[in-house]
Amino acid sequence: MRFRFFLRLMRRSLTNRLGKWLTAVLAVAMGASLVSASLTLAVSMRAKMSQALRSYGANILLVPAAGLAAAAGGAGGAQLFASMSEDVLVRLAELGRDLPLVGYAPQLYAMAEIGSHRVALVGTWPDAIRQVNPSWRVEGGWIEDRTDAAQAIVGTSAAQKLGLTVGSPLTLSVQGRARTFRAIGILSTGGSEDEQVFVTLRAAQELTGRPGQLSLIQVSASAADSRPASSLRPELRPRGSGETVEDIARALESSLPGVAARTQLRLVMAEERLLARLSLLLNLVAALVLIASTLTVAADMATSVLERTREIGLMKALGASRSYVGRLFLVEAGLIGLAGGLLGGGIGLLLAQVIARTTFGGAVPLSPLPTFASIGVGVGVASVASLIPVRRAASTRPSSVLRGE
Amino acid sequence: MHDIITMENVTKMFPGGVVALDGVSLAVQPGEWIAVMGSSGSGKTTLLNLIGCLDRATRGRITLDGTDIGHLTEAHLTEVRREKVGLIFQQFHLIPYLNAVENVMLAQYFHSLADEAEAREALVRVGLVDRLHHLPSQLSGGEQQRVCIARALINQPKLLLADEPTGNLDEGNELIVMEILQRLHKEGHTIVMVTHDPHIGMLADRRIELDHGRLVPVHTHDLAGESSAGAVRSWDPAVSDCLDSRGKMEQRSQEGIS
Repeated sequence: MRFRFFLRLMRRSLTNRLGKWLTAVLAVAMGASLVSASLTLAVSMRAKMSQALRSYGANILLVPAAGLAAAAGGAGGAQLFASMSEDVLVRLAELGRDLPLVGYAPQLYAMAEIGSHRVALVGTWPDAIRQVNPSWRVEGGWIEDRTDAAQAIVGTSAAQKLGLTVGSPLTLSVQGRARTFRAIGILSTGGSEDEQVFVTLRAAQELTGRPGQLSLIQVSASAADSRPASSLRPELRPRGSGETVEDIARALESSLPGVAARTQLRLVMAEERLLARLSLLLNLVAALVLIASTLTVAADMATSVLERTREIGLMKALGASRSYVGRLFLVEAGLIGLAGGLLGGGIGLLLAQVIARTTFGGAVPLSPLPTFASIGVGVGVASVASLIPVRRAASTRPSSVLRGE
Repeated sequence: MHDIITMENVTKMFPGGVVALDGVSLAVQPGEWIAVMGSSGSGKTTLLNLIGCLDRATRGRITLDGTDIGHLTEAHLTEVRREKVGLIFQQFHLIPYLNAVENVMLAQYFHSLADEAEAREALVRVGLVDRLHHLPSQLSGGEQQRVCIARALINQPKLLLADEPTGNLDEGNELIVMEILQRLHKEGHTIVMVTHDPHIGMLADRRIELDHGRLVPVHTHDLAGESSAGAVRSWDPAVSDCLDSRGKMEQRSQEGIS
């Protein structure tokens, strides 16, 4: 009964001042929306970012531990490429069950001749290399079968130099062994792949006379940040394994004898810096807007208390305690915070969608966390903002009603 | 029977050295109707504030129904006020966004439990049966004052304090309100009423007058021909005529409505 009358009072009081509370609700919503957007982005940005980065290529290279220097030397002749046994793939498949590997593509490099031109020949698993490099653009078709021995994909620069188009035949020869393929796709990546000719791993091994050999393995590992997971705020830690690219690289290296793992350090570093800068910017803006929101709500509350001095004085004269008056205003503030938080949460999600669409080219997944955080921030802002006005209200002297102040 | 109010040598000073009450002593018996008279700034309202536990005396001792209220904490003062005092204001002081019944229920709510049926009944008793769900802005001054009286009475206080209860009312409504006060007095309520209007003051059992914070002898001409107790117990046409003939409204406008 008491509670019901209190609710009735609140309802009357809030409807009476609806217009005035609306500015306070909007102020809270503004701050809360940025928090919600920031959190939504922070949660999804990490996933988006690493996906975006993965689309530039693999983030770990597995190479023969001994052959790295020789490969880097790069002097001509197919034999100069150090190689490792493809047995390592079996072990890698096992490791893939425990580590967050998106995919891996074995590659065998050789120099081949097409007529009088020399080109870099790459034998690989055609399906796997696409998975590891999702940003590659292909004109024409792609090799469907890992055992195919008649089809080739030609890099766009190489195709231009050799005068090849989709459907053209090309004869590759390596150390006197020759085989004719048909170019079924022209590949453009903007990188060194544009100069290369791709066939299946099996075809390359046969052509070069190096059965069971690999030059390297491109690995795409899913990790959102290169920093140790423990140094991150909990909400930013990648879900699941909690491992970084470095962690995964170290794990691979130690599990695969004779294999060295190299991370794409440059990309990883860039990812970290970009993430940090984006987070900092969002948090900074959110903090400033929250301060502004708090001040706006505080001003609104102070005005409300001032305008209602007589009303408060009357309530106290009628026997309302300090705590009742305080509670009245705190509940009003709480409701403002709740409304602002809910509204801000919604706006924040929309904002995050817009930012995500323009920045990462995709929608962010909806998660309840930013909405709850937004409501929490809303209620928090409103409560902090009303501390001083509420104290003032509670201290209103009941004698003010008789003196007509 | 002990006095319901005793004041012993009570002084109230405000910041800045203003002495609003200066050594006032007073005793009020249960069921008594006292009119506190005096010009603006004489300390009438301060006296009411102190008796009503709305403010504290600087010096002196005040007891209310046997309780020394000088040493109570703010929370205890609030409790005493809630339990023992009903307040009637010149400005009515109704909450503008609550209707008549809700305004009465508010006092119940602070006291114990809001009981809508009881609040309606209180409004019916002051003649507002068809105004229960009107907002203060939809009520006339007299009707607002009657809501205020119903609110003051709802928790059956031992003491009714009225600050210029007719100060903002036209003559017709003044009659109605004073009739209600007379009825309450007959029912045995103790009333302390501040007024600067000697003719309203005449309705009380006893008049005290303040001048610059001190109690002074009541001007006897105001009491001409009256033997105080019971003389003007009912508000009959003769009294109205009397008030009219003495140019009440004119006099009031000269004194200014405080």
